[in-house]
Amino acid sequence: MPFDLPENVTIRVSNISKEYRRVITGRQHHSLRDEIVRSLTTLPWKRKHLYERFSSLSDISFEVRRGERLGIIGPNGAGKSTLLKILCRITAPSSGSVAMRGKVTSILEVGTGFHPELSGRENVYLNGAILGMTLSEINARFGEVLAFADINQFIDDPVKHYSSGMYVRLAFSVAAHLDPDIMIVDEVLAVGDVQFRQKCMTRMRDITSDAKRTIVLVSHDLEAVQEVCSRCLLIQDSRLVFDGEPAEAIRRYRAVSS
Amino acid sequence: MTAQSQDDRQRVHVFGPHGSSEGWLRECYNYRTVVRFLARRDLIIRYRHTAIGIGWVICKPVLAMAIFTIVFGRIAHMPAHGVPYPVLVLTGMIPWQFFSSVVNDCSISLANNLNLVTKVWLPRILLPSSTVILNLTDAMINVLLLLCLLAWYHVAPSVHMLLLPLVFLPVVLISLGCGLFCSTMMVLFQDVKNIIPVALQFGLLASPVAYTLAGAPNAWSQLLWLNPLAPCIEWVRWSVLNGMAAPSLERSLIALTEGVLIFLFGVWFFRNQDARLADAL
Repeated sequence: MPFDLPENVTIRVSNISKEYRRVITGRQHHSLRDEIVRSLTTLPWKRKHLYERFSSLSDISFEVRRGERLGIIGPNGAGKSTLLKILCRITAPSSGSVAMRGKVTSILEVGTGFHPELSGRENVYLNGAILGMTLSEINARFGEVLAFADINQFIDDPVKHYSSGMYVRLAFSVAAHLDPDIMIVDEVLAVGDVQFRQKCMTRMRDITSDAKRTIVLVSHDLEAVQEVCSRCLLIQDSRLVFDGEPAEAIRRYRAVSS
Repeated sequence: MTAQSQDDRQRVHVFGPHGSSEGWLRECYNYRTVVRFLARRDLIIRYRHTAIGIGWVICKPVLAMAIFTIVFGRIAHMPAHGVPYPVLVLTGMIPWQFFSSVVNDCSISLANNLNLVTKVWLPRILLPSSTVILNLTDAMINVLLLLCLLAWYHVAPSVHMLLLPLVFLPVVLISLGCGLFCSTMMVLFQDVKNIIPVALQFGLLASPVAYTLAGAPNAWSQLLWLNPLAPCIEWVRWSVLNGMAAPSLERSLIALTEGVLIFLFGVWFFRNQDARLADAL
């Protein structure tokens, strides 16, 4: 079993590949009927010709050490989002493995699982639980979340009556008060009006500057990557083509895309 | 920081094409809070406006009871074995309603919680599983309704009613097993959503809801006994009503075995297809 991560390594990605397969003929959304017909009319050894395989990521390996802030950039369709989804465990790799040390939180959107009928308080608890917090952890941080979101008297009103600003403030606030060892973020999270955006950025800086925390940031925003990250991966045509200084990664990315 | 959480911070977990090194039961346990708050969300949404919520819950069994009473009780004159026919139907309706609601709720649970599948990772088996809690609450409300009906007809409930939670346990296993299977099939195949209502319709007639098997031994009822819900429903009748024959031990054991196997199959099937779910949705 590959449990032998060195003490200072928090993420090890080993030979990750991801292949999707699609049916060549017929409808893309397959139905049970099609499947049954196919399995009755096609000989087993010919079935693989019905599918076309395409690779979205091939053979990616890297390690991230504790306290590193890793950026992942690349053109659209290069496999960046697939890598992000694999790191978050949303989708499984076709081969290879990922090892992580400690508590992991991934934030692809703020307010995952928020329900309009529930009150702000109920949504904070639901969202916190979805992000992997236990009841006592949510209880312990509820005050901070509430203070940061700054919606005091509305906390027990249904979220559907919130303004969109209040909604994202509350949603961001939960995400900003997690205390994971590894944080995987899709785009830099700054939401709401100008004032709150400032607050978001300050908070993000606090989160990312903690030396014990490992950050993985997948982004289109090259300036944000430059500002936040200490190291950067460039993904192109489903391969890892560069691993090193953010400035150099961005230079190469610009060179290819222009 | 406690020693426990210090230890957690050093814990390495590995995941790949075939799941995680953590062990899925442990992962489900780590995310137990999610079940609690998902169930709470569903309960709040259904019962926030209490009158409407309870109205919807009792609406289905009451309507079914009325229809069955007219068709089978008044027109076809089915034997009711010494209890008012509506009571016979409603006792059967409670486990059946639970089963069919769990299967329905499970089958839409992944699509309903789309963001919890495609935007975040959590043990996905918890999404369909948490629907059991809401449906157990509904079943309890239906039991209260049944008690009212018994009072209306001046029928005394049996003391066996104290065993009702125990008798209901196999129903939960069967329902969740089928629900997990359906929730996965629903995501993988587009046409399953058309099959489920038909199958449930068939299941309702194949289960002793509008009739009772205990009193009518013939060749065909032998076949119906194989339905794992049949002995369960008869056990529920036995526990609520006086003078109802309990299913024989061997039939009960067969049903219990079927129930456990269905549950294990459901869990196995869901876990087996889990990795494909996010890609398919």
